[in-house]
Amino acid sequence: MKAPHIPLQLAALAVIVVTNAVALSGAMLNRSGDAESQLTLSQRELRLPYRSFDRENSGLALSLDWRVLVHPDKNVVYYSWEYSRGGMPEWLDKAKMESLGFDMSTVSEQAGRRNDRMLSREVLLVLEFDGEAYRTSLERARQSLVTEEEKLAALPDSNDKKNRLKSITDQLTREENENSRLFVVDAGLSVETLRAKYADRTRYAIVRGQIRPWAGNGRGESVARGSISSVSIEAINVPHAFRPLLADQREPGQGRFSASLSFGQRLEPWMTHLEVTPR
Amino acid sequence: MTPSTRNAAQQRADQVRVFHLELDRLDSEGVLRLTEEQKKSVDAHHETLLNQLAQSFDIDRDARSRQLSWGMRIASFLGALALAASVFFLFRQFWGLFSEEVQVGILSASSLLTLAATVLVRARDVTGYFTKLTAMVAFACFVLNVVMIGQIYNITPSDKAFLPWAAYGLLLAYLCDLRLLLAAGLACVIAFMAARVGTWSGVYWIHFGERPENFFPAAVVLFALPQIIRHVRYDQFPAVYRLVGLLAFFFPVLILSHWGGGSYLDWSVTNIENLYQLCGFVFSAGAIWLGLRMQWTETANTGVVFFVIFLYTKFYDWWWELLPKYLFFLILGLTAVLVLMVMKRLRQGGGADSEEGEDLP
Repeated sequence: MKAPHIPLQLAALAVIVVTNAVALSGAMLNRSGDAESQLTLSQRELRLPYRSFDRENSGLALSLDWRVLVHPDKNVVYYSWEYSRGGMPEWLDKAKMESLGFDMSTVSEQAGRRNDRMLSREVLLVLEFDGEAYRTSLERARQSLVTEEEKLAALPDSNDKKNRLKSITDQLTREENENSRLFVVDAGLSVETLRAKYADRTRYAIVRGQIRPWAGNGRGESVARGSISSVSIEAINVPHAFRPLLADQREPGQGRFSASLSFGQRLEPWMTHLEVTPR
Repeated sequence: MTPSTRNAAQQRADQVRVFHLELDRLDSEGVLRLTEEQKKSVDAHHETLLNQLAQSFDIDRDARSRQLSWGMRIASFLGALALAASVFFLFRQFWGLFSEEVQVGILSASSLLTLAATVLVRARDVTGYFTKLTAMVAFACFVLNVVMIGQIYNITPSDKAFLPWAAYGLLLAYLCDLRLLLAAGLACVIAFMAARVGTWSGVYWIHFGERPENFFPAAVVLFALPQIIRHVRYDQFPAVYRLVGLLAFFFPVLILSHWGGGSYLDWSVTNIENLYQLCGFVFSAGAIWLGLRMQWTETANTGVVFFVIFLYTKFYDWWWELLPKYLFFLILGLTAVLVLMVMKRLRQGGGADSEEGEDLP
């Protein structure tokens, strides 16, 4: 029989107990007291996973679909995508990046050559639900349609213009009915400062996320600004109690629902309510 | 003197086996012939000794059992990986059927029960193979435990998770005398230290791998640690520390020698790559020298492997486009021959040194 090494056994036991205790108490602390913010989102902002590709996972997590309002002129900033996560919002310019602690003095010199040196930092992001940013995006989509209709009126036989008009019309339909209405509208380093600016806790949630400096060329000149890389928690676990409600919805876009997300003391979200709405 | 570790016991058993082979040869060549009484006495002594060692440490008494034990070692390693994967997929398959409280209960219980199983198996398993299996599963359960609690409660991912994983891996390694878990624990230590070094420069922790220099402090600490902390009862552990430390050093150097943009240094990319190419050659040669001098086999071998890799990648940069392929590979082959000759010279020199060393009182 080997020596029992009791101290090592006890230490291993302590590691398990303490780690679980710390993790669980952190989660409980987050959910204690009043929620820092509470948003009621829909299937547009909380996407179902493609479960048919992962049949062996009985758990379910919805992915938080957030966007940024990019500059309307595509020539100003490259690499922005309007309808999915990430990208360079208009407001995240060089001055804003400096206010977030990034040293932007050398970033513009690094355009292209040493972009790989610029890594993300964690900051606080403000998520706005169905607010000014979404309305602006919707208005731009409508304006786009008007512009394309005018172009087609000038060249009624152009197939290119017809196709373009169809594409813009589809885009507007998606913007009105399918695209996420959750936009990152600001960033900062202090919850208090951001909350003072965005007081409505049912429209604005403050979360942790990552911002990366970016340097490139816009209109032929060097531009330095920021890009939002990710929100720290993008997968929202669906509690066991709500899972049967989504049991029939195997793919994104299959059904409609509304879900309440609370963001706690540590800005970590959890689902407090889920309701399936008939089409 | 009774050996204190399995490795020392195996060495003692090997010495006995070689002694008997040599004794038979001397006997057949008529150089030394023991009397029947002496033979019986030596045989009886060794038989008792080998029985004791086999009982205490499950040593390999002959070449056949050594081959078998290699097979068992590989089987237990693969079995441990498969069982760990099985635990992971088992949980994924069914965890959605339970409430969050039950999920947490299952996760914590799986960590505690597998730890208890490891302790029980270790106490009864003389071979150590089953202990390795259960300890690996225990480690996998604990990793799963922490990851899944993070998912269930949407906890912000943190580099701090590496700390309990490292602690648990190291504790299991020392508890069960397992090099595999020691390496796993040290990998967690490296990840944690690299992430911390990265965050000092303000970078979000998850990008620690994008600055290979973040790994250097951990590499130095791990390589030096066995010199500071003596491992009397774990005589195979210092080699693992040094090996993991060397890998944590040479891989980043290799990466930076081809990707200067990943460095903290505010130099031109070319200068950074040249610096790290030079470092690669100097430090791998240094590792060979140190390994031979200190008789650290893993250090010397790692040095040789990386020296050749640095050399070959440099040849590729210089000549792949320039030379016909047959000539390029001929140069590689001739370089390998050259390395072999140098190593042979070093080995002969090392042999003479060690013989001189053995003559000293």
